[in-house]
Amino acid sequence: MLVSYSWNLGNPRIYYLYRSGDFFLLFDRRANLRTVCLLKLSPEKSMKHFVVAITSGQLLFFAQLAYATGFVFACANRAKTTPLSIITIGIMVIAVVCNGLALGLRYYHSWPMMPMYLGLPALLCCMGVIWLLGSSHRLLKSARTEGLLIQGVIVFLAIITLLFPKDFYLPFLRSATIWSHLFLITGIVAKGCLLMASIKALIFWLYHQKNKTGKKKTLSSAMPWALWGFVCLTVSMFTGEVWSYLGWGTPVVWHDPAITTIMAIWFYWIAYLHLHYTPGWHPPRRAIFMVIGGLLLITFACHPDMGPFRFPFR
Amino acid sequence: MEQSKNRRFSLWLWHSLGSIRLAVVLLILLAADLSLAYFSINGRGIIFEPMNQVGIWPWLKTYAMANLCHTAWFFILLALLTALVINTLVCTSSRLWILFPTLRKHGLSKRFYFSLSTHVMHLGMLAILIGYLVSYTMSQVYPSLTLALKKEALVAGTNLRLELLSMTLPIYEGKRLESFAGRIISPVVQLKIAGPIEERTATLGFNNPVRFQGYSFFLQRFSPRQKSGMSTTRYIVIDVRRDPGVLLYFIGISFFLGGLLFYVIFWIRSRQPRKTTS
Repeated sequence: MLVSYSWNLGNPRIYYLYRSGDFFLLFDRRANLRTVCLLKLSPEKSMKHFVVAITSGQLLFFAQLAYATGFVFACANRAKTTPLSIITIGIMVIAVVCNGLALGLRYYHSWPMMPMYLGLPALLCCMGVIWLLGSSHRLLKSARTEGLLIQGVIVFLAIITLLFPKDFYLPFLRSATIWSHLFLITGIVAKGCLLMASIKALIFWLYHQKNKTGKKKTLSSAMPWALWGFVCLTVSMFTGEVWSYLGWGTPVVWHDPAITTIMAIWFYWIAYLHLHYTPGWHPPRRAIFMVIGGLLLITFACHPDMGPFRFPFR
Repeated sequence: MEQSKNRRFSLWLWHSLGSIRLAVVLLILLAADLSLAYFSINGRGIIFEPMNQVGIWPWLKTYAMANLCHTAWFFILLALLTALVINTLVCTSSRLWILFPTLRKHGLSKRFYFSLSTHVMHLGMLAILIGYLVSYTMSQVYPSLTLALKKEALVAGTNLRLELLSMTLPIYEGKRLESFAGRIISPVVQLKIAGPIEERTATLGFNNPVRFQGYSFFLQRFSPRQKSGMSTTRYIVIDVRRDPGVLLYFIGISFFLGGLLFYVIFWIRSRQPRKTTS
């Protein structure tokens, strides 16, 4: 239940209240724009002692910590036991929820504009959701390596997001259009799908090197990810183009270096799709091509969104 | 003998120009070049910004030549895109030449639609690239035209007269966007545009350009930006453009997305297991 509320609890800036049972969720503008408060009514109905204020930065930090813990648990789960798998899934669910909440808060405090440099935390969340979608399969069955690789990528992205944050820029007025939001969201989904395709290709290549069975199936399973990634990237690029025309009057904003990275990734994956019609490109070579595409993607997903080094426990 | 040799050479050249191998090489080179571009543009956006205003040739002769080590990638990009256009054109025309006669023989099959969708994407890509070329070579741009309230201004080199009739600058009074408290986030201006024959009053805003007799008007800046501040003068800065490439690249985008949609639909249908008949 949403109650628009002007709260006066010694802090007049708290203004939104969500209620679910005894718990209240308050949005507050204290502490660098983004704060969420979780309150529980005490028997005396005195709320002051129960206020826990959490900023979106802290939520993201919890998520990063949970992603790392989940990775450690997944590594420890060598015997593929059910209790440890359930704990890992639980931790990853917490991580994705915290990550999603942090993104939601940042979006909430920028709407109708687009939050700046949301790419890395959002890609983190996207990869987390992808991991969760096939988590039981990845923890207990044959695809354990795949699960660990996805979690490895997630932890790498989490470390980059933690040490090189760039979320201190304010949104700009021209981003208050549906095209900018479509550009951002489809771009993130595309990157998530293409990274997943690269991970599947890497696994295929590793299995192929060891001459294990079932190799063909693994690479064919990468194709849907590559295709959906390409579709989303195309939609992202064209919505960006429409936004560029409406906002600046030109189809390409050449002075923004991030635009060229999207074009580079797009051309690379078109080249990959064309390889299917090229004789001589056998599955292992195509897998290597996809893995290089994944490395290119990680570089261009991280570098433009990386700020200066900041020690997280300052 | 000589004629047959020439014919064979022409055929070889035609097939080579439209080969998928060449397309793959060009696409990889484009990806590499654009990756290099990222590092060249990073922190040097000021070199590339004027391209959108002066057009491609004047920019190449001035800014690009003066900063060759940072703009070399752009020359390579132009060469690669030209090669890609030729490759795509040859590939699509020769494949469509083969594809349409099969229509008479096999009728409208799944395979026909699947192949056609890829060529529709190719045609869309060609339209986009040609649209860009037209846009960057033939556009007339009148940048940074400042209009004060209730004052008429002439767009240089045209017969257009502009007047800023009114400015609606709603001050943000919400509580959610703290940093924008007291600032204007959604300016709306009323503009009177008068040509030699007709005139029109239109509403202009960010991401909401106005079109009039082939010209487009884009809001770039406005003043005042906040409730309290040094500047209280009311004015806007607009870009006026006559861009004949816009329609072409939007048609190209529609073709590409349409082709992609068909490609995905037929790809999904081809993956579905066939129903077994008992």
